[in-house]
Amino acid sequence: MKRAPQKIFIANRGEVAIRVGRTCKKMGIDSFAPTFANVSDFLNVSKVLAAAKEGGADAVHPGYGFLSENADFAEAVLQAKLIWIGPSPDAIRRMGDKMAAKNLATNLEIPTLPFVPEEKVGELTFPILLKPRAGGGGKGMIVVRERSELTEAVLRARREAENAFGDPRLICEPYIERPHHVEVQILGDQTFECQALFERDCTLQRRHQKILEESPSPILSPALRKKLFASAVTLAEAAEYSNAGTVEFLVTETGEYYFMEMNTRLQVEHPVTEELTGIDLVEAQIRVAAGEKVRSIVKDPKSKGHVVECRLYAEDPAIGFLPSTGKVLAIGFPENGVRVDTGISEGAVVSHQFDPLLAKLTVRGKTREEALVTMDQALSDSYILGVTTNSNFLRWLVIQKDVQSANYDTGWIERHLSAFQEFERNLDATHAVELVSEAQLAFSTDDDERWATNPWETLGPWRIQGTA
Amino acid sequence: MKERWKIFHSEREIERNISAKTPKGEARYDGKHWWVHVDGYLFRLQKLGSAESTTGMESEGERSVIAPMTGTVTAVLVDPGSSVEKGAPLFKMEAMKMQYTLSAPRGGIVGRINCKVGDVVEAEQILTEIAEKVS
Repeated sequence: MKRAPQKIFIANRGEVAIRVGRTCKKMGIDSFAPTFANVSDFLNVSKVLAAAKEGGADAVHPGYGFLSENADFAEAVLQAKLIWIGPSPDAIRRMGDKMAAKNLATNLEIPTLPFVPEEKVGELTFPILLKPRAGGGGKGMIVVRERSELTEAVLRARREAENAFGDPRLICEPYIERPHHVEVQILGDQTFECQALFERDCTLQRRHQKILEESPSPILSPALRKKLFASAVTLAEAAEYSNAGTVEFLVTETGEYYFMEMNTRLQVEHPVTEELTGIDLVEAQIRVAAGEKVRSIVKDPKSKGHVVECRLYAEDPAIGFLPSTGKVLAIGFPENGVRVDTGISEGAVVSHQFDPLLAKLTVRGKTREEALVTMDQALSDSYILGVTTNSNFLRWLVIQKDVQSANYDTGWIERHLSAFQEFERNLDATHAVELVSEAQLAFSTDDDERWATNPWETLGPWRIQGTA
Repeated sequence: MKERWKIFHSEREIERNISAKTPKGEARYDGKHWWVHVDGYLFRLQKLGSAESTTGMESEGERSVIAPMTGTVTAVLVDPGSSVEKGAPLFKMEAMKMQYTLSAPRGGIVGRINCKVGDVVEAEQILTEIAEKVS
């Protein structure tokens, strides 16, 4: 297909729609996203496609989440004679089934962990990891340490897989202790020539979900990095992959690596790669979909410095990262030195229906050390009031010795959570009490009144924000 | 004049001396709690009544089983009137695609159950209370 999109339909909402729309605007391409009343409509292929046609789109960008890895949706878009900004339906199917993807990798002599379908779980030695066969993003993954826990864990994993992906089937593999999660960004064109655009280290996770991502990975030797890139490119090319994708690996403490899965879409953490290389990945996706060659889009990609991204979630680390809800009463981010990707604004309601990701902060430093210091400052200068976030936790995280010396694994956060809880209990709240007490004294506190108190602002000691 | 403040995630309460200088930060009131950004950290606060009014009363946290967040009740594991040990699982909830279990904050007798499977309960809603066993 050699046709540049004129009007792109973004089959997504919130931060994702804003992110993709920003690049469309930069490229002089019209774009729009649907405004469905129900979130579930974003998963409805015919409704989403109808909205694209109704708005006069000639191309569809799926973003991430929702239908972004749904081969039937990709096929429906192509059948409607629209440009699909993503890999072919066949490539999505090939890599979307985790067992098929692992089989392909094994045939290509890329290291993989042995795996078995759920029925044959007895063949493995414990500990094992249960994963949804159709899943991704760490949802529904359960570690089983002993045989006695197996029956209940399988039931739970099947239920979570059914809830999250509409497919209860599981795969089982040996659980590697203390692994690192390193993934390689791939860009392929319609001739299936693929290029590796460096790695992202996403080892710091809670509940198997990423919370801090960085590049370069602090644990890869140049030789190991080369092997990961070569494996990722070999796999993507064999899968006849076009567009942006991510090949995920587990890397052990002793330097072995195993292919885990491929995500056939743009990743949540793509800003890390963009800030590292200066490449706009959404632009690259659009140009590839219009028939351009990867070689003409990214000639000799270079990485610069060290990039760290943190995810601000609506969740409460003090009670085991349970999601929190509420209304955003105020939100503020530093204006310089940090990239902010967010879809929320003052007045937004954070409900239990949505993904709890509120914002992503991405910073770059000359060195890893500098990037972590800059991130601490960026977190310190950011606030979302009205809903409990993991902001204090992230600040604590980036100043930990183990994090600064990259002495961690994917289970580090779970093992050290109580140290954070202790830290938060001991935070000095004297200034917080003084600030609020003063605000209460200055005005009679009516339930409907909301005050911003910033006495260094120009208009006297108090600024009244909003009248809603 | 002194005021007492509860600081969430801290066991401590703070007394505030009104004469102190006001620090720089942002604060918002949601009708129940104050949300504050100051010194680079986030705090949630609640003003407490005078010391006398709470003396001798058991706190809500000791007896109540409270939904920590808005979500759907997926299982009710106990009946009213049943006897439970501290830490016994009472409810299962799901929110934001995650499942979790609410446990008994202390041993005792389960009171009225204020929810059923499938209900969407609000954050901080009291799902049941555990009465102390009288032996």
